[in-house]
Amino acid sequence: MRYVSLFLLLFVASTSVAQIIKDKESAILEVHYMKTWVTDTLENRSYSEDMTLRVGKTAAMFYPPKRMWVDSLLQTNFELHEKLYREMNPPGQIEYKPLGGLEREYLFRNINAGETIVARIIAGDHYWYTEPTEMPVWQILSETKELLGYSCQLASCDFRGRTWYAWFSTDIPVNEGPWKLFGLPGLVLEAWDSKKHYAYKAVGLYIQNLQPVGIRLYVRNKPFMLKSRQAYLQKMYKAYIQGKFASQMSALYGNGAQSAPTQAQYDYQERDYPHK
Amino acid sequence: MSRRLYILLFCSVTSVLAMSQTDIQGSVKLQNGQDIDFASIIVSPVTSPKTILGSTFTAENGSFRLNVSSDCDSLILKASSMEISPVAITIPNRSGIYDIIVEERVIGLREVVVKAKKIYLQGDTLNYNVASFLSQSDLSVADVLRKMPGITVSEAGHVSYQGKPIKNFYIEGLDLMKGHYGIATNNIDPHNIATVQVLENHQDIKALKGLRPEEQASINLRLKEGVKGVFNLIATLGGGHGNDALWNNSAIATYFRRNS
Repeated sequence: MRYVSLFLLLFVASTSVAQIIKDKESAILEVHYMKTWVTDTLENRSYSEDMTLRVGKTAAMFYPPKRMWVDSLLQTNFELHEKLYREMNPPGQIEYKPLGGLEREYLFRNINAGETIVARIIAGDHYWYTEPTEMPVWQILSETKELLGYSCQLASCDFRGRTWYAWFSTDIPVNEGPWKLFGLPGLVLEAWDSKKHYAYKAVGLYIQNLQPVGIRLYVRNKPFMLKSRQAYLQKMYKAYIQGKFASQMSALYGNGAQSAPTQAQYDYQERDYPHK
Repeated sequence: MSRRLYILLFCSVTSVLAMSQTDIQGSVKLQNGQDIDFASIIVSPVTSPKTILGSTFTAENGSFRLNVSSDCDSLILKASSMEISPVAITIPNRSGIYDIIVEERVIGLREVVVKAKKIYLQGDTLNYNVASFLSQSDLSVADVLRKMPGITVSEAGHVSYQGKPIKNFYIEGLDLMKGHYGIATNNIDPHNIATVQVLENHQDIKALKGLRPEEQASINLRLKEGVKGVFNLIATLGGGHGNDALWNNSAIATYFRRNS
């Protein structure tokens, strides 16, 4: 019996990790984007959050820097995290203000060759999935424009249920871009979908004093591995669009006023999953 | 009928063949023979060098292959990467193997940081970013307003926009001061103000909204995020005598809060 409990203890200890860090290569370029997304197509409410794209020679990572900072703080200095959190959400404040901003999705492209890892917290638990890196099939259009002092060209693609447009610059010869919008003969400096529900805009380019490119996840336990992108999208759909998470939280911690889930008026960047 | 269709079909097939695919192969190498991987290869016609006919990236051994179709008789083949200086060569529009010799270089990219705009237009509202006009010596909003293009402030604190006196002076959408807003402009600390908004065509009478265009502009001050509120206490006291004793006094206390 003692052996069993010892074995169990060992098992528990091995699943709890404070961080997953795997550096692959040094970075050659870092791009800061402003991501804007519409969260209510009826009221036309939108949010904006900073995103960072760090580009290596073969790999890239795309993450919300504020969220990464908070995640790492939560694992390394819990007291400070709590203090900051309390300061941002004083008692009596109705609106919940997340410390690390509203964007939670991390993306790691080709850290393991040919594989894209997407990780995020869904309804309080960490999840991730891997998929073969899929490059959008781009159509290069003839429009040109100058962005951040770089001459850019327009391209469009149909990617997973949305039509995307992107301004890219061949003066920055890396085939990277925000989120999964990569594969053009130059860096994407601005991108948006045809419904204008999602938009990325480059606000800064940096080439000095960069951290390496690799997987950086600060989590207490190893995230749950979802078996496919479809499983991930279904999980996200149920938790946030069908509002299961909100009604659960309301039942647990609220006054129970929100008994029935409310359908959210938005959709994800990827729409190629079965839903209404 | 059907024969005519066949002829048409045949013609269309041959026309496609005429604008045939050009199969371009090659490799990107340094002078000393070292392969360059992950270099960007772009093919464009000579007539319009900005147009991109096709593009690819070199493999690990520096080789590349791509198909383009163009009726131009020569093409430009460009190779660039973060580690080499960009090279463009002109090639005939024929399938073949084209090797590109490049030179190494250090990354020569310009770093860019975007800053907030000084003035931006939102609908018919002109926003002036106070921080970009503010200097150390500015004590009141009037000092900052004076520096904004299009806005003039009189000694008494009265504001004109493009030569015309403004109609209303709002703070966070509130018209508390009415005509005495000179007190506000001469006393409010500019460090608490985020933006000065000039509202053109702003009709404050609800019944007339959209019916009568307003020629005079109005100004709205927006407080900074995080500023709890702006408290002002202004008291004046004056006395004298002519035939009778004269006196004048006033005390105004105001408190503005940011409405989000």
